Amino acid sequence: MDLISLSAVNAKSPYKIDSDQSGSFFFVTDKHRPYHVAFIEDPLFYEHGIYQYCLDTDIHAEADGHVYEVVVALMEEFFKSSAKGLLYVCDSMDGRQAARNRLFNRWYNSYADRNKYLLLQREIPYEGVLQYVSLIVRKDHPEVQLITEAFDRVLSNLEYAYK
Amino acid sequence: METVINTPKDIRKMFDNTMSMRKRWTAAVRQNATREEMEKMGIKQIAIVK
Repeated sequence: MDLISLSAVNAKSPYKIDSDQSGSFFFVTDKHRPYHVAFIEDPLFYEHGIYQYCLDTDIHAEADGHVYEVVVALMEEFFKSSAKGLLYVCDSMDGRQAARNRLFNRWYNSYADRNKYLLLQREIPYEGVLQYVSLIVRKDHPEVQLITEAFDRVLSNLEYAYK
Repeated sequence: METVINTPKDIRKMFDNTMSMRKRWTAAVRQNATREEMEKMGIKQIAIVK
């Protein structure tokens, strides 16, 4: 079973992380902004072990710079589990997916240990809206080649399917 | 181990699932759903240990 240790995440996180009754991660920032974070198994291009990263917060609350540190703590522990890869599709509900993709790239490029990982990105024209899809996988994962080839093949087919 | 997807219809259906998964999770977490309720909705999260 793929699992993440809460105590290991909390050892790195600037905010106290807990699990809520839904089985998601939960924390509240200094500005009283609540966040829920989940890793949901997603078989889009690989049968097991790829998880979609999900984050939910009150968009009307004030932003907080420590959230990046929490995300890094969660992702580092995610990649210590037996999970194989992390899929991120920028939320497009409010039309701000391009801004989220830029923020994601800025965070990723500022991450000191990014050379341990491969980042693959595609833009999919889904139902008339451009969707930004990213995959992060450890370079030293034994299935890295199979995973990245499957991602490339399925996402290329998706691009074609929506043309 | 790899998912086999043969047709554009199959692949669109799979991506529909990817796109709807976060929406379902967001709705469920805002309604304080339990892990069991999430799983009944087809949302399988990574396990958390204390």
